[in-house]
Amino acid sequence: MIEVEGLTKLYGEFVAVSELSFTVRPGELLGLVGPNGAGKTSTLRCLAGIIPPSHGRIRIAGHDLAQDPVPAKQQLAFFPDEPRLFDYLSVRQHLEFTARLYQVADAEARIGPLLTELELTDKVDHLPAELSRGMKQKVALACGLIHSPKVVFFDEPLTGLDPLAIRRMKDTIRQLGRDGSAIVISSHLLHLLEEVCTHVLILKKGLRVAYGTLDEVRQTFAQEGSSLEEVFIRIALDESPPAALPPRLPPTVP
Amino acid sequence: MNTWQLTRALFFLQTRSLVNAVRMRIRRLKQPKYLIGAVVGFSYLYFWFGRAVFGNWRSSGSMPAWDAERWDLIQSVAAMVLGGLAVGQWIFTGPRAALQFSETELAFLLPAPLSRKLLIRYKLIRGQLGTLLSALLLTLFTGRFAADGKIVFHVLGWWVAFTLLNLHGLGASFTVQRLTERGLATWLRRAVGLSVVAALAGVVFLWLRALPSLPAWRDDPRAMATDWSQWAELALTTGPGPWLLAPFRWAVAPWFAQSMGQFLIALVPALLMILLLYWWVERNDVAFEEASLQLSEKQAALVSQAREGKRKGVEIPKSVIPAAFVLRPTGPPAVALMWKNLIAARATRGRLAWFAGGAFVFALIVRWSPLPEFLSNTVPALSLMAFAVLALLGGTQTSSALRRDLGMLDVLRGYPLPGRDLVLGELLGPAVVTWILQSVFLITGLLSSPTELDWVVLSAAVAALVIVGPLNLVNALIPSTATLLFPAWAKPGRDIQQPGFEAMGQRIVFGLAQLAVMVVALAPAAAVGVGVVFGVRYLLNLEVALVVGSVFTAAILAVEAWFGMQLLGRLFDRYDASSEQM
Repeated sequence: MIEVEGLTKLYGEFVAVSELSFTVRPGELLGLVGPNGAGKTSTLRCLAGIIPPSHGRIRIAGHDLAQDPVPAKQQLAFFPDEPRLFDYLSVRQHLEFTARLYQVADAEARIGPLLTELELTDKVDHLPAELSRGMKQKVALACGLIHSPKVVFFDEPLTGLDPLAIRRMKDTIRQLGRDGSAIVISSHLLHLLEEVCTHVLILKKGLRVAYGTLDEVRQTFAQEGSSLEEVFIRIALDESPPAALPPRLPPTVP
Repeated sequence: MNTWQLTRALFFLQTRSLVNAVRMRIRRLKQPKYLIGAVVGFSYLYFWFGRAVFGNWRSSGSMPAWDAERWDLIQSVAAMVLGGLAVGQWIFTGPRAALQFSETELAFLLPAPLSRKLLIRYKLIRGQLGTLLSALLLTLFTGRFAADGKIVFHVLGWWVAFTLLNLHGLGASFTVQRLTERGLATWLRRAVGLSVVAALAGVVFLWLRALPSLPAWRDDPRAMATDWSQWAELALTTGPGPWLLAPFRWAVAPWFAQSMGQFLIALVPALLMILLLYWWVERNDVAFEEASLQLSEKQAALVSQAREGKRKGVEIPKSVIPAAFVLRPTGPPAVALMWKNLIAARATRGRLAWFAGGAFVFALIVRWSPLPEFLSNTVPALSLMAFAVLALLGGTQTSSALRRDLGMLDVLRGYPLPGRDLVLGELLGPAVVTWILQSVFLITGLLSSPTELDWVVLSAAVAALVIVGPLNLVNALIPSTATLLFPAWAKPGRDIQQPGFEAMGQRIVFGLAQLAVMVVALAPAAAVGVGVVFGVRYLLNLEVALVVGSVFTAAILAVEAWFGMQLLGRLFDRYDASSEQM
């Protein structure tokens, strides 16, 4: 479960994300949408504990990310758009390393099936330099899933993948949702979000302009039966300011 | 748009980029940390180099005590070096000419309606700034040795020499490509080039045979230097030497000018040569675009590699590196980072065993070989020196993994580890490698020493090894703190030396801080250690006292390192890379 309350991220005077609040329950898949510079990546990086929020509160599986970061991070996995692997570790060494960091006691029993499921068995002793981009993405997935996270964040998960890998990635995301994980996907590929997400959150200039189930958002911003793309374009082309910026709040992050 | 307008556009691009870069650096000086670095860096440069140069500029006339003939000889030697470099540009250049542009420049300039001539002109204009800066820096650095008050002559002299060399290199590479396109094989070009050099050397050799024979060996080094310089002067100023060196002597003549009149006279042939070479370069119509693209891609890959924390010159492994030990899935998570960094350092058990074994066998061979005394003393001296240097400067090495991995901050931040454990894990791997190297150097030093090894020496060695372990961690605290406090200086994850006064100042400040921290950290540990040694020695003996004292010293250092690690961990937890935009 992800609970976000009044999340604000400032870069100096610039407000990247303003007073953002939402909840993602187990099994829900939230699509994070917005034009370039809307604050999607900043939001995702704050949720994953990579950068500290300027104000606001984030709870991951019941743990406050600022007060209690270690148990909160134990429950989450973050997949950036570009798989980040260590050049000098083989696929197996990546998994052993990650298992120790997340204290996965039955790591040996999990690694085998995970490698088989992601079709990495014959690449187990390969270095990242020997792998294609899709394969690297799979290794990053295996590392992220080895501790069975309850909360998963994806940033542009389909970037650089071939059609077959895209199909498999979608299946993996759906399966995680079915297994009860709370998932947030940030992507410009609206058809992906329509296909896999149960909820959608649209950001514009750091502010939340739409939030709800796909049908609720469609009904609010376009005619019934409209595509998410039409909703997005309507919101993106709307020149009126989304809302007044909130007043400065005292920092909540120690 | 005519050529002049296009040239102006390219000139605008260059000057605007420069002005913006300088403006950004000046704006950054509003932050005290950068201002302090700039002041320290500038003061350092001024006191070491500038004072000598500018001081003598005001009181020109303090000529070095060399006569005109000696200067003439040095000019000939400089001309010979320049000539050698120019000849090398014909022989060693590749078959394809490549002008080096950045990827952005190529993306904008290649599709733009610009002729090759204009691109070459842009490249030459752009290169001038770097040439002038190099000239200025070399003048500063050589100012202490050539402090004759002729700073302007030296700056312009360096500039003339560099410009001529650059233009000549460019022209040579264009001509080589044209010859290659007409069927001249690279090996043949090199063979012809080397044959011409050999033929010229033969002519000079024949002339030298006619000269008085080489000076004889003399015990007085000063007298021998005089004999050799007289002989060299004769060789370079008579016969074919002056004719062969003439254009290169003209090229370096402005640097050696002793008066404004001499300088202006020397400048005329040098500038004429620049114009001639420029004309030669511009009239070449060689397709350099493809090779330039390849070169810029290669450069961009190197830069991106460095930005991602991959060290320059260190290759990505080609095969899997076995881990130094089996990593169990449970236990302190910091050990996982140590395990990973040992793999990154290629510190496998086999390699460490071979290194240590080889060093010890070599040490024993030195010990038991009948070598002359000065040789048998050299190996232990060098080994112990290496141990001492690593003990003093090992901190930078120990903090290397943390600095490298900060290039993957988003990955590190995702790990469920408090900052303290993460910092500890990142420092432990390199600390272990440094400690192993220190042990090998110390043991090699002792084994190779011709003196008898008694129990006191062995106890002292054990004590030293006990102490340097935690000392390495204490030493690593300052560079690690620097990285987290001043990321724009330390450029986490990058292995690129940062230019500028403020970066130099930062390095000086942190070098001094490291020394200060080491003294402060060592003082209480050493005081307790010495006290324990005296106490235990009174009760038992010196051998036991040394070891027990070192354990107390190491314990205090370990406690200090632990507190430092807590502070660093807090810094890491608060570290917000997104706030460091510049």
